[in-house]
Amino acid sequence: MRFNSLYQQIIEIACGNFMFRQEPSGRRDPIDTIAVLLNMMSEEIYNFCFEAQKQEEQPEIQFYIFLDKNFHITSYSSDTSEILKWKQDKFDCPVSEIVSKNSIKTLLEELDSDRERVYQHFIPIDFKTENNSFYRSPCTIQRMVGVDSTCAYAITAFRFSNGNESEKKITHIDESLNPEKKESAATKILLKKVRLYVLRNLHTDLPSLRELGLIHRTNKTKLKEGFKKIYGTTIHRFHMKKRLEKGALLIRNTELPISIITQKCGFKDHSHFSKNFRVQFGKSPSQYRRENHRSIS
Amino acid sequence: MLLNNFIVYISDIQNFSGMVVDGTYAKMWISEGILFFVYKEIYEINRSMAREIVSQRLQLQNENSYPIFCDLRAITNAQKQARDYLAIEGAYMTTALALLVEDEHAMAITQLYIKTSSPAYPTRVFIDKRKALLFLQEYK
Repeated sequence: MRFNSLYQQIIEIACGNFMFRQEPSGRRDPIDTIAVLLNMMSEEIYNFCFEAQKQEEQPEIQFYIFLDKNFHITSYSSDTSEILKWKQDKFDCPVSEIVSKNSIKTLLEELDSDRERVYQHFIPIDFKTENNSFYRSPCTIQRMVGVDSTCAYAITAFRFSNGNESEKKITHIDESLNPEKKESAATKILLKKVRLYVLRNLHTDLPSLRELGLIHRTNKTKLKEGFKKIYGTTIHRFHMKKRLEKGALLIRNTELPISIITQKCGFKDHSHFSKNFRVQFGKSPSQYRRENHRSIS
Repeated sequence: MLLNNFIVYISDIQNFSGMVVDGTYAKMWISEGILFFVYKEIYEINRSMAREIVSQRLQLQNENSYPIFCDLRAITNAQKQARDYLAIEGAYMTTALALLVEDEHAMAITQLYIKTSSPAYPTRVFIDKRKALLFLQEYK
């Protein structure tokens, strides 16, 4: 039985479903270890293949589920049963029957914290499927206002897809004829390394694109275009954004002088740091510290 | 098992005269040049928890970098986004990291984390607390 669910997960991964998850039994034996490693592997593959391009991707609704005020299911979209492999109707079932214990906690925390939030916030939710396995999907939960009591909350599950899906299908045959597909994985690994290089060098200036290319054994054009395509921004903008985020984190949580933080974030002078900080956070570093500083003492 | 961990650390804390921070997700203190970071029981760390964890650690460190002894034994799981945040932002002001886990099961999972997130500082996983502390000595 426990092996069956491992087989099932391997089949799902082979079919391209990286959202399939299993809950370990808690015995911490080798079967549990493989189950957790498969879960993590699915996350890593999904991230490697799709997550980085999210900026270019549009979330599209996969399915939705409505709950009453007692968190019982009142209705759901027609394809929900098929995606979650439900064998029978789930009307009037408590939400605890369709999501993991941890996800219930996450949903409740989200409802508690979202009162003032105006933007769409995705939380990963594990939906129960057959054989005690889970289907993980980025979701939103919203409190419904002004509708009848059978519809107090709506859980919407999303998936991210590239807007050029139809264009892709048309060119699919051509792509399969040349070896570019294999190169594309190699390029992704290369760009992942470049991203890591940038993140490890937030304390200093970045070399020129040509030099970065030499370090990573590629050329300037491939680097420039590939990075933009995968991460939706240029290498230098990404570097700047991350340096400023690091600066903000240190300003908020330490008492390091701003002059030292300026250096730690790779800026040569305060005015350069301050000017860019203002563009990203809308205020000067000192003003930001006054308003956001946190201390445990 | 958790009770045993707790007793070990009560004795650690009793021999310690500095400040012990009882954070939202972990107890932490600095002793003999090492930052001790002992997670409370958490089923799954998500990104917002990871942000709070890094934030509270930096507040304790204030202006200094330390080697970190991180007891993961009360953690069951961490989401990918949280793992990434801890590997990058979690690296700020860290000179080395020793992760303490409960058994071979957690060891395999933590090894996958290290391999996929490639931390920028020396990182090793231990089941033996004494060996973990020994590893950190040269980064003090």
